[in-house]
Amino acid sequence: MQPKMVINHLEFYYTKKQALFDLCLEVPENKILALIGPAGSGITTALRALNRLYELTPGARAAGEVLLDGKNIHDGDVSVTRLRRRVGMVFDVPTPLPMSIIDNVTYGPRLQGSAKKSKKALAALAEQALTQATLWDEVKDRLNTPAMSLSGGQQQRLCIARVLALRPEVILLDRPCSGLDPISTAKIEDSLTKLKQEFTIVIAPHNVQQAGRVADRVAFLLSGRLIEEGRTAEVFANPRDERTSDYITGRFG
Amino acid sequence: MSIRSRFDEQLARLGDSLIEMGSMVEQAIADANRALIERDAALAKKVASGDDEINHKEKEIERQCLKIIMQQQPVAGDLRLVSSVLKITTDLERIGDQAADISAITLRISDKPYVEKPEDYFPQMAAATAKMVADSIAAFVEKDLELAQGVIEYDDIVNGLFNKVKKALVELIRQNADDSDQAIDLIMIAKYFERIGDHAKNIAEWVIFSLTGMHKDIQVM
Repeated sequence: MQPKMVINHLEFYYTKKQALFDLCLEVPENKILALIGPAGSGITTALRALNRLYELTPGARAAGEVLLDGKNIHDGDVSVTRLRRRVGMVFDVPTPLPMSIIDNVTYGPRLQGSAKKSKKALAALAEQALTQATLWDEVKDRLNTPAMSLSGGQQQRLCIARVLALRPEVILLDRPCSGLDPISTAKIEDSLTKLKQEFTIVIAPHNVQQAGRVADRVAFLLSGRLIEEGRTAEVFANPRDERTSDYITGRFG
Repeated sequence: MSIRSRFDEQLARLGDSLIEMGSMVEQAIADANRALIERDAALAKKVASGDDEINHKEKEIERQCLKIIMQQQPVAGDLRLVSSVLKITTDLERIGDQAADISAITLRISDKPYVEKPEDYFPQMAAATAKMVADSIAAFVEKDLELAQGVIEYDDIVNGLFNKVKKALVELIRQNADDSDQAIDLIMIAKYFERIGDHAKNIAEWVIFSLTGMHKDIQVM
């Protein structure tokens, strides 16, 4: 199968500091790819390079190719808005908007010029997104209450639902379970393993154990360089590179 | 102390426990042989009852492994090491059972004269299998791939010895049917030694897995 995204010789700079060095990596379709590595290895940068989110950072620039379905996202004719709709992002801290649960989920579709969409159609879209984010059962009776009243884990699943409501093709998750308890974490992991049937997922897990639990493939980055990439079971049972082994067994990092 | 160095200490203790269990098993093999050759019923009883200690040690090592899995969620070489130890203790425990089985037969037959000279065969089988156990555990502790491979090859020697005993005893039965009961018991003993060799070979195979991730030439994960 064709990879959904391909990173080709990507170099990345923040003003003068180089953050990624000649990164080559494939993002397989309908799979979960985990990017792991010590702090400062370029994990978040690599994620943000997949939907050009880095452009919001002054002085940040990329060289090299990032292909989405074979098309370079750096090309002049690529609409960044459309790109970020196709490649959505969930952040480490839940970012619910100060409005009701239902409005949070339908906010994107409404902005997206779906204003003409009937209330009924938006409600159906919200239900689908909330169900896929495994939040529906917990909120279906209080959709009009403020999103801020939800627990941290629920807020994070709401943010996943908000991305899903835009029907993206790729979902990027940057340490989506930071600060969440094991039950909330398990719920998010459960929903991810279901979501990959429909979406392509790239996750920066909050610890390596999470990569072991949810990812199909794992890429290990160190100081902005790809050290090793492979099937999760293989990388965790039998890493080829000594540095991968040292990192995942907690010898450095 | 950092989490990682505590983990390393736990792994080192696990290695020590495995060495202890290995020496208990080696002793059981040597004692089972000596009790047979010297018709030492007291020693045979000791081997049969010493099996409880070996079983106890197996449980202790299992507890250590499970605790490490719970606390450290080992991966990579650590994961292979801990899972190999779990498999290795099972084989060591079976060897202990077989030494006890040999001594149980010894207790039954050692009050009568032996129909065949057991010293012609069994000391060699005991020495060969005890060496396989010692080498496989040493290979584990020293991370010595070559030594582990040597154990696997050495199993052929034990199998050769077994065939030699079997042939001699079958010949004996053919010549004198009156001796057949005891001859069959002696064949059983030879077979137990031969099985001990197989278990030691298993241990060596798990040592190779622990070092390389390959088990009998198959990548496990």
